[in-house]
Amino acid sequence: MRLLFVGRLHRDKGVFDLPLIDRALDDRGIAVTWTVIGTGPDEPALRDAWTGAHVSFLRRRAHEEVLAIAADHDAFVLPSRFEGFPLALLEAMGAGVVPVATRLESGVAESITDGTTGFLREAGDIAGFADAIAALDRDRARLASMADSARRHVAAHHDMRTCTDAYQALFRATASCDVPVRPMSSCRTARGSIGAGSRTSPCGRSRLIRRAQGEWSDAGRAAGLGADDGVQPRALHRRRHRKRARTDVHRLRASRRRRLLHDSTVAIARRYESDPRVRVIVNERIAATIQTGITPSRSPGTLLQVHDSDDVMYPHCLAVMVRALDMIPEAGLALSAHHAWSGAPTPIASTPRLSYCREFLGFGMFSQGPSNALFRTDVFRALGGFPEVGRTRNLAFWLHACRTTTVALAAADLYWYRVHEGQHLRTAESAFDLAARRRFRGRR
Amino acid sequence: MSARAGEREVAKRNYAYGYAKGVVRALMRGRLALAAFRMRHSPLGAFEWLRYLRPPNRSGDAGVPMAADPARDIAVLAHGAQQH
Repeated sequence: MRLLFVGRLHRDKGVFDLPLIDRALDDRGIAVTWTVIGTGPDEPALRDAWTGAHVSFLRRRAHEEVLAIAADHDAFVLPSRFEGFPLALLEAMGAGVVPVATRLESGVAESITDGTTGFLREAGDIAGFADAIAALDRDRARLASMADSARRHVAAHHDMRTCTDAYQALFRATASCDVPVRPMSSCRTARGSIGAGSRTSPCGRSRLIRRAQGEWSDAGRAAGLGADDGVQPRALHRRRHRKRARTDVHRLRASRRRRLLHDSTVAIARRYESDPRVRVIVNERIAATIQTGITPSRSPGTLLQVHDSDDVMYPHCLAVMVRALDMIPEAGLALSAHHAWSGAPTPIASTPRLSYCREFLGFGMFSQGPSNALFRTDVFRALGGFPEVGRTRNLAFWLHACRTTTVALAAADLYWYRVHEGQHLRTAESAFDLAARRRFRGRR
Repeated sequence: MSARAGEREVAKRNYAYGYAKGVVRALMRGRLALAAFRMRHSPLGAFEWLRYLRPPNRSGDAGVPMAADPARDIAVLAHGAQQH
């Protein structure tokens, strides 16, 4: 029998059971060879405890090499004490190697059907492991049958393509609701906030509506995945239909035209116009009024989002943010970041005091763009919107907002802040602007 | 020194370090004018720079609620902190 162990050489993996199993097999008269791949803190001790010509320690090997080596073995022995969802086990099964592993409340027990795709034994049951291997050695037909079952199980349940589809379906189900998806043109977000018919508005600044979907579908197509039209609207509709609240998404860049042009936002927006789900809307007046904190009368929604048009909102983000605000009614806004908030599962109710501590004594909280937040409209009005203080406007706003209201800290990475050439924030002028205005942050 | 005053001292130290890092980064990129501009516009005086420019003392626990509100299944208060 050719036996294989792949993993970190640590006592948590039960590596010191391996020489005992080897001895038990020897007592049963089973001739075996062992291949041990991996390194770890207990490697010297294991080598000292387990010697013999039939044991090969190959240390760390390339992934492809491990798969090739695994294919030349009969059984994969995994006597771990703790496991999550061991990929080495799945890869061994995929290579047609029968697993003999510890029965753990983890992915191990989910992956192996005892007696069909492998063997499960209790932790530390040396005799049980040895008996299982001996049974395979005695019945080669069963070994081949179980190897085939293991291979088919991995192909059916853990193939990358299958898992991708399953993940997509999961995300879709999370972001969706029971109401039918309506066409973009009838979505409240576009009609109410930006204004139906403003597509031909003569005054103007371009607004990219639902660029997120365009970007998302592009990314999906690039990854060979199917784009799902209408995932984001469904998140919006969910709020409308279930809670009778409305979310208005305002996509805007900056208040000054020269900055807008400098950022090439118009050009970026036009690139996506060929996508039928994307509309570029010209309406300077609305952006200006939002910028000064006066929500247009056509935006009666209870929730408001101010979205930079060159950033991307992932399809599930509004559903997550709205839920955070639902859970914490006293919060005036929900805030996401590109890193997980430390300290607790989200959402976290961050009072002004906590926000102060997180920003100045912790690892920061205010380095966010407008896109990272979802506001209650009345709170946003009361705060007065983002002040016109150049590059530091976001920081100034967060300082003011977080001092005034409780913030619901939501899950990370709901947005993609896109860094690109020609971005205003990357210019030398902007760096000087920041330096000149940043001083207020150091004041008491 | 009260706990709040101690916190403020740490906050200033963290701020000074972050600000100095920006200046050093500008220098490393050869942007001398920007570095000088930043120093000129620094909110800290010479004495404060000497006093507060130290390695930062940031904590992952800062701002972390330590007590849960079982009724809503969320964490709400920092350990020993008061709500304003």
